[in-house]
Amino acid sequence: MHLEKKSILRIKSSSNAVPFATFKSKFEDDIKICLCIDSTKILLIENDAYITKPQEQYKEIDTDHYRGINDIQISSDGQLLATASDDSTIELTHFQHGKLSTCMSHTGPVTSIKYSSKGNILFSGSLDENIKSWNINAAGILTQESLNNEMLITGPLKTMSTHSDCVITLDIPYYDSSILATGSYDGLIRIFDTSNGNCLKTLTYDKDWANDGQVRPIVKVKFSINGKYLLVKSLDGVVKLWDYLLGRVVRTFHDETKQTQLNNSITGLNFLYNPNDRAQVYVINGTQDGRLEIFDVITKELLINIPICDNGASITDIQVMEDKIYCLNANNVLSLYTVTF
Amino acid sequence: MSINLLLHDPFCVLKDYPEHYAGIINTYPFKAVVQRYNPTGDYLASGCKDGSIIIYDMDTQKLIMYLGKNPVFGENNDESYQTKCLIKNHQDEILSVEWSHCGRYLLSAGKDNVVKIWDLACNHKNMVENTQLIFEKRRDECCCKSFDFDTNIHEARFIKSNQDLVIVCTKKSCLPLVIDVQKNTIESIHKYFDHSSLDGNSDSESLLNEILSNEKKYGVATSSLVTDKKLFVGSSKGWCFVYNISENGDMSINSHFKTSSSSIKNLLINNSMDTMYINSADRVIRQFDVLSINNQGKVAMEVNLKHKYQDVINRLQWNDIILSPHNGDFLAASANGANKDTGLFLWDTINGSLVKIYENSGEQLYKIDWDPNNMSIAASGCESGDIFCWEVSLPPKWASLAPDFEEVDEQVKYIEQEDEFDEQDNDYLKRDQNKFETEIKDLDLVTPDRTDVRGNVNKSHSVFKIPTNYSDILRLRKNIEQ
Repeated sequence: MHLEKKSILRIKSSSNAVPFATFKSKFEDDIKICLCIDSTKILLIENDAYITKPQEQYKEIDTDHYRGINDIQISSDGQLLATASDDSTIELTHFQHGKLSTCMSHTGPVTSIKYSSKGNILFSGSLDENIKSWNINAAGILTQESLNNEMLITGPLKTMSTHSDCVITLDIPYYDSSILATGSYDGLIRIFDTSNGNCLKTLTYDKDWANDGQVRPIVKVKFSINGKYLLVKSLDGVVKLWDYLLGRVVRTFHDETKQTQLNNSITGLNFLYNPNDRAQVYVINGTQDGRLEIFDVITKELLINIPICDNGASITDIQVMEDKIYCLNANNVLSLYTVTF
Repeated sequence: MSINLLLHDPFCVLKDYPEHYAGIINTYPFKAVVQRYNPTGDYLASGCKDGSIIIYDMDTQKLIMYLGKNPVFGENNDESYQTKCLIKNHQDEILSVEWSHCGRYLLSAGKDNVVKIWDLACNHKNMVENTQLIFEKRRDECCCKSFDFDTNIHEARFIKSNQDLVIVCTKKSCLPLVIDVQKNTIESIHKYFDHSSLDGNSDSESLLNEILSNEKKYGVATSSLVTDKKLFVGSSKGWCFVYNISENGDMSINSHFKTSSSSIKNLLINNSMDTMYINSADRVIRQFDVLSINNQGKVAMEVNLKHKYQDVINRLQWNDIILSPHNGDFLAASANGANKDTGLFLWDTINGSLVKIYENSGEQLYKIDWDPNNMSIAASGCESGDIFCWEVSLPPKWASLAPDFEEVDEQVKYIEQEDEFDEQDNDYLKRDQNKFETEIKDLDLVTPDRTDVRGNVNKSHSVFKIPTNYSDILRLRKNIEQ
């Protein structure tokens, strides 16, 4: 496996450029990369997978948020941008037509959002310990009467509240929106049934080898593409792969030479799939000291361990688009790598 | 595909029929008449009394699509939101709706004697996966189609093996008509008979000639049923015709038999093609064993009466019948009788006994559909036009809220294990975990399950998902702001 550095973009922003989101259309040449700049604005990089232009030539989208944005998601049809903010709201913005609606019901900053695989529901997790789901497709309101009564998208469909600390991350399998995994600062990973909002399973690090009596807050959860495994990162930087049906950790990805500590920043994590060989799956992990680690899932071997930026700023988010890896670090440098398997 | 079922109690998930009343879908201002789930059970299409066709998202139970012109927008044609779809709504009650197996097209037949094919991706061509196009056209053109008939029609159905062909039962003949969607032609079914290989089809030819010369005797086609290789057509005089359909669309007549003397309302056959159910206007549902008689190299179908389902006291008329998925072990029928409480009846088809009466609806029910993916039944109410739903109830598990909890039915005596509260040192646990990890060699993170827990084939990759119509949402927002 070989990693080649293609380009970097130093983003001018008054705040951290995290979070960011990528989208690639399956049917036509449509690529979108969205980054948060100046807390409440979105920088939109369109149809330029290799980020060749300077920042000024890309489009900026203003949002109505009055506090910082925590998460950005692009819907599976590439038309709708969702932004979750510290002001407890989620905004839905259509790339062409502008603002669609604002979701208001959370009582704390919204930390994480995710579209269902069909693109009809948006799920959100918040510091108020709740998870809510929102109906996106309100196109079917057909009478003036129901139009007056019905709040377009703005009310939640369901609220799931079983966590005892803030919900930081959530994920939904790529092909199946019947389950939802959430990670919280209470150290629990919960799996919910999205059809009725019931908790189906709870996973903890409790019986783990690293049991030193401390709760390990969960900062990232990610389903494998078939939805059978869950990749989880805790705040101490240790990455684990759960077989959640079995209720056990089946892989631990951790550089043994490094001491674990409960540090304070959330770093990026993602899966990397070899498009030519379906059996080859890798885990990309960004570290606190600015290194990009790629592990083989089967052998746990650390294949690549390179520093992204010389000054060692932590890698805040990683997005993968086929063979391209986009890394964003705390110094607002967006770097693009291509992988040859 | 539904992973959530893997985590539920298997005894709750693997119920043979839904037991829990899930409530109604309010269809106001429309009156639902006939409804069908799409192949994955994600959407419910409903044909209405006034000719409208509406589609519900079953995840949110909200209306997401109106086929034709949305009535709320009125006549002010805003250029920026112009839809490309040119086809108009039905002008009278919908008689049947059906999804194509790719889930992208919807076939509807109405009392206005029109059959329509709707392309649900009409305004979203650039976002469509290539799901078995019935007809190729330019991307920016509307490819919905409409076919007018000069006689009353009963229903229209896609041919399973070749979805360019649509079977229409009309009030003209016992032979159904066939629409070729590609060529825009409407012909009687015998035009599709393979006349070239006369030796194999001579029986078929003579049977056809006999039918054509005695059309009065057989009545008119009232209902049809399409399976992978067969087409069944029921007539108004109780005759059932069986046709063979080959993969290239050639058809031949297999056999015909009389089931009763009154009109056939519905035909059903189970997946293994050995039991057939016929709902007739004489208030009896008959269950037949299907036999294949091999007569000098020709396989013809014959039937033997096994059970009769009827209500001898109230003399209930059965509006519609539906079989449970997979083996068809249960048969549900909607009753039309004097008593208002009569709802949906469910029988065990093995021994013919009544299992359950769904009484929650409080009104008579008309058409019913059974979704195998979510194990739910939807039935339209005759008076209100609302859709009543029953589903399998999946109760919350309190044990799932903590990792080591277990729900027990009876009190269990607790016996402390020898080493239960021993302090285990971290190194030991770490080695133990490492050993466990090395033992698990193959991890498949990519391949999804081929079937779900209930045995339904996972079609979520191949079945069309209806794109969100953002321009309609924006128009609605505008209407609110005004």
